[in-house]
Amino acid sequence: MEPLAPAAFFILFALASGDKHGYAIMQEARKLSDNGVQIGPATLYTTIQRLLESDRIREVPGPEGGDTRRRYYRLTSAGKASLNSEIARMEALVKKSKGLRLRPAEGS
Amino acid sequence: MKGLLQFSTWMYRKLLFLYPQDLRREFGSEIVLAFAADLEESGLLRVWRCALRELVTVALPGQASNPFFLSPALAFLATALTESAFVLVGIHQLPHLSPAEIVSMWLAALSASSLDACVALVVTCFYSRCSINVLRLD
Repeated sequence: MEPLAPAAFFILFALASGDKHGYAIMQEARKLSDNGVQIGPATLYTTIQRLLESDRIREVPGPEGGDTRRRYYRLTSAGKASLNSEIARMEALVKKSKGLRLRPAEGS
Repeated sequence: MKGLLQFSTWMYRKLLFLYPQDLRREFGSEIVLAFAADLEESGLLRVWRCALRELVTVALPGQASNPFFLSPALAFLATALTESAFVLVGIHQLPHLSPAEIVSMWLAALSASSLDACVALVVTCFYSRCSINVLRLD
């Protein structure tokens, strides 16, 4: 499986904690990356469009009393698989970096 | 401040025409909603910096296959580069030019580039309406 682009990764990551509309995904992505990743509105919806086309996310009805102007999105099983595979890839990279002593080991 | 935020949102909505049509049609209103909400939360400068960056990273690549955008853009760029070279040579050769003269030279270069972009757009529109059989000579 090909590595995910940062925007796609953080959108899937943000949706892992539950259904969200676009702006909530933007806020969650910022929180998850400690403000390190800035996903603007156009990047967000371009990526959402691609993720919908590749069936990694799907549109779902919003919650009772939710904002009717906004659409809500949910992670699909294909999306979860992509996210898990990306996290596994990152873990493998961190493991390799530890082996090469590129960063100090924890506690030292 | 509220007026400035509303003006920013209005301007951003107008800029959306630079984005691919399918994205605008499907998500246009939600993109503007997200922009307006972010404007209130993150502030004017940060949001506009991001929006301008997205014009280059999202809007322009998304229009790469649209001849109605690409041909005027290329015409504008080609003329702007050529005219800018002439203006720079002029400034170098004539060191006693007044600031007003330099500004008018740049404005002339900008006008020529815009005119070329308009001509390119008209030509693209014309050829897109012509059937390929009409253009054949045999």
